[in-house]
Amino acid sequence: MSGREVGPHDEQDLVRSAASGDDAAFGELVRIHQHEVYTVAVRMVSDRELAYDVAQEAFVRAWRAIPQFRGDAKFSTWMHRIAVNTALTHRERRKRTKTDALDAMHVEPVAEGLSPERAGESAAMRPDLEAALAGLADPLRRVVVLKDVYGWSHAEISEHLEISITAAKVRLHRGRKVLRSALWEHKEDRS
Amino acid sequence: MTATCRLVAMRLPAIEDPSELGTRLGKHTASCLRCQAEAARYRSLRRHLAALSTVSYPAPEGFVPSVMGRLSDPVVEVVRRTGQTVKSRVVAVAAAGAAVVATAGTLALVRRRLQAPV
Repeated sequence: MSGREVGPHDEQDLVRSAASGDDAAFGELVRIHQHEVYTVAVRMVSDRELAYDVAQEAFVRAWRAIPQFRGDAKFSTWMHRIAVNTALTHRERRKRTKTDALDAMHVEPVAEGLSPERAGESAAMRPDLEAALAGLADPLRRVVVLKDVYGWSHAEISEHLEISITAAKVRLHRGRKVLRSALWEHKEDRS
Repeated sequence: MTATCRLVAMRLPAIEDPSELGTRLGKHTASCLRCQAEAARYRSLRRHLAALSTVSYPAPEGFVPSVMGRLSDPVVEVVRRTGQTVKSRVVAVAAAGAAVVATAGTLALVRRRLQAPV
C-alpha cells in the first residue's frame, strides 16, 4: 500500500516533525498513506474525481489538525477517520450519474496480503462486487463499507454518520441484501 | 420454500454467523439445503467484502505535489497556527464587523443628539 515501508518509530518521528511545522515530514506521510486514503475515498464516494478531491482535502485537514494529534491511535487510523469524515462532508457535491460511479471502477486496484488461492478467488469476484457496491445507494454503501470492508463497529459507524445504532444495523441489513441479490440473483435466474 | 426458509432468508443479512440464528432457525438450517446455500452466499459476501480492505486504488499521478501545493495556502497556514477552523474565523470576523458597525451607529446617534438644538 505504501511506496516505502517505515517502522512505527520512524513514523512517530515524522508525525512529531510534521506537528512542529516540518512540511517535508508531512509530505513523506502523504506519500506513505496516499493510496490508503485515496482508496477509502473511492469506496466512500464511489466517484474517482470526487475521491481525488476528498483525499486531498483529508490531507489538508490532517495538516491543520496534526499539532493536536496526541498519538493515542496510529497515524493511519487517525488519517482513515479524517478521510471518512471528509467523504461524508463532500456527499452533497457527489455527482449522481451512473456513468461516474462505474467510471470509478476503471482504476486498477492492487491486492495485498492475501494468500494466492484466496487472492485468486477474491479477484474473480471483485469486479462484480465493486460494481454492486458502486450501485448501492450512498447511505447503504457507507455502512457496508465501514462495517464489512473496514471492520468498524456499529457504535463507531453510528457516531461518525450521526445516525442511531439501529439505523446503522438496518442499513447494513438492507445493503447486504441488495448486494446478495446483485451478485447471485441473475445467476440463479439464468440457471 | 417454507415459511421457516423465508424467516432464515430475512435474518441472514443481519447476522455475522449462522450460529446467531437461534435454536429453531439454526436447527432448520442444519437440515435445509436451501438455507445452507443461502447462508453460504452471505458468508461468501462478507468474506469478499473483508478482502476488499487489502485492495488499494493507486492515487493518481501528481497527487503528493498537489497536496503539498495546497498546504502553502495562507488560510490553511493561519488555521494551523491558530487552531481555528475557517468557520470559526469567519464567525469571529463577522462578529467583529458587527461590533464596529454598532459602535459607529451609537456614536453617530449620540453626536446627533448633542448637536440638536435644545
